[in-house]
Amino acid sequence: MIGQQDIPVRFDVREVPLAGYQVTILELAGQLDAHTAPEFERFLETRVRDERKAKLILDFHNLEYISSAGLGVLMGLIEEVRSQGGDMKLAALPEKIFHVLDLLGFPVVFQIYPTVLEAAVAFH
Amino acid sequence: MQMDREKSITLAADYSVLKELREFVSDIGRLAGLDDAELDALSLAVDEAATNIISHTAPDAPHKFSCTCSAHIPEHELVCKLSYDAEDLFAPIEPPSTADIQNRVQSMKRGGLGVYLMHTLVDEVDYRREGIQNVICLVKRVHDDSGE
Repeated sequence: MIGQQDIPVRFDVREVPLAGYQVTILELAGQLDAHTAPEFERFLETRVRDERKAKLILDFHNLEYISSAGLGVLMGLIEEVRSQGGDMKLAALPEKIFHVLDLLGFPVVFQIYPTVLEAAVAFH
Repeated sequence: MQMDREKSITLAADYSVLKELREFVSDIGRLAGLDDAELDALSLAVDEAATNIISHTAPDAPHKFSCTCSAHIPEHELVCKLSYDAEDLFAPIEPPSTADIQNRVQSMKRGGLGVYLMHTLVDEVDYRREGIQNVICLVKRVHDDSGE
């Protein structure tokens, strides 16, 4: 059986508002793998370059899956964000996704919060 | 008498098939009795192996690759073999140590994450040559609730 190329790999990223906080919240949804990571990288690069001193919060609560390709995107951009005086915090990670990040030692490099609100408060 | 169960799938060597591959592995893993955490671990390890095959065999990349998963019931293990036609043996990649990978992450170096995950999430990883094919073999032991 030859694999069906038209089976969609669903991944979405969108900005959501949070009243009272000057932060940019990006909500990730679906599956972040080698197929969808380039789309995520393009989106994130644009946000980082358009927004100096970006205060980014990545909301993982709707993310179902992440592989090293998706994690590589975060690693590739965090230094650029910080060099501009901004930061990128991660929030609301499902347990299985936190487990993958934890295996690789990401909690040493990225600040990870249980909720988006706690990440927003940490920026102030 | 319990029979071994085996299923195969052949996919285009394209990143767009990774979701289908993970679902295939999860389906047979569930039949073999893996719990949710074991299914997640095996699916991610197979995804990383397939991503390696797709990305590192260019420019003479294979047009397709196969994944055969065998549930070895008496041994409480699931074996997933990813294979593809190639002229030469795909050089086995030594996994970085835990200290190495943590240093790389702290230095923001992307390389090695997938290989490290692959070796960490399954019990055995083996690279071998079978005929005209390169094979990456991943073995995941099945959790046994009975304590036997």
